[in-house]
Amino acid sequence: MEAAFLQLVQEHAGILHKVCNLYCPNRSDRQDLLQEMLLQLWKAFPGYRQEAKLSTWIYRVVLNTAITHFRTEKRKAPTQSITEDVIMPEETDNSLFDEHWKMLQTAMACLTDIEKAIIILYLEKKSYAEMEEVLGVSQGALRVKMNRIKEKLRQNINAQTN
Amino acid sequence: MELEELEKIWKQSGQQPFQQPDVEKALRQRTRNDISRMSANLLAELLIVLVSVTVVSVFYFTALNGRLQEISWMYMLLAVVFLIYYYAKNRLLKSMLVSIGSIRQSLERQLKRLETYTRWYVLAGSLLVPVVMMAFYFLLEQKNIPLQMLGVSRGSNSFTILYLLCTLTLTVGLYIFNKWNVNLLYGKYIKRLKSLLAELNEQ
Repeated sequence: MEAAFLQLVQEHAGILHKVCNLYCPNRSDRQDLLQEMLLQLWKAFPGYRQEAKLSTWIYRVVLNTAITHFRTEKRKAPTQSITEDVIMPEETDNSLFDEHWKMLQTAMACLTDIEKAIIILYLEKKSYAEMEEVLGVSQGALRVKMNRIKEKLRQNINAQTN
Repeated sequence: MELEELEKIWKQSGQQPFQQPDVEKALRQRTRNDISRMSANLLAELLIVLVSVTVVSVFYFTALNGRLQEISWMYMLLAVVFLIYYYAKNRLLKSMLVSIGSIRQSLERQLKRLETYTRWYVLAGSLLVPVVMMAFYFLLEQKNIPLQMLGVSRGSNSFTILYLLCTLTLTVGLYIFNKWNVNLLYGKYIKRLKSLLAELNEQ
């Protein structure tokens, strides 16, 4: 099981990093969230029944973790974290990527945790049926929420530009 | 920047070479999620109860030449009950840590379990005082141990009324304290779960 799990993490590391980046503006929180996601995936892995698409299942676990199990807060001193070897893409030399991510983060800063989950699934081109599976919200309600999120994002982007 | 641009950035980000996390190391280290913090609080609670029970038990074993040993045994029984409660609560918290089902199901499950638990916590914690006080009263009666409260001796009606008033005051005090404590330990988390669910249910 261990090898299969490691392979799963290797193949889907991007999902974890992207979710961490969007939910945590601060680096040490990101590391903590990444650790928490890995732990949750590890615990949930034996229960994966292959009824759902693997990436949908991963999104379900990691978004669940980001929304329900984890709350960022101001801390007086940095807590123990999983050190430099668990780093995010912005620590690489890709400055353009870094810049783009900052733009994305700024645009999405106005969204709530639930809205972030919806937009992440939307950007990942997940169908409304898959989004319903992850969030437990009906497709009709998701469409309404998606329209509101788009509007909110548009307003935020315009405000940033002006 | 338009929404389409965000989509483009997101798509590009998927093609980035992400550094692999050290899974083994991550799984070995302690986490700082809300539920782990609740587990730590629970352990602290257990330690406080065990230390208090030990002190009180030793006191009653030696006080009045050991004539109140029954109270010590009663406290030890309470400690055993608390250990059972600790075990059950710890199991509940561990079960809450595993994400099963959709986000809504996960939130609903967590909220339901926490609310049930906190209700029992307040109820059991508040009933503790009258039960102990009554047991103490009957023990004093049975053993005919002299006791005075505010100058009134045991055996008179005034003493019984005073004792009942004292029990009532302590029970109400403990109820208020338990409510405050539950709110301090779990209030923010319950509030957050409710607000997330409200947002999900919003049409």
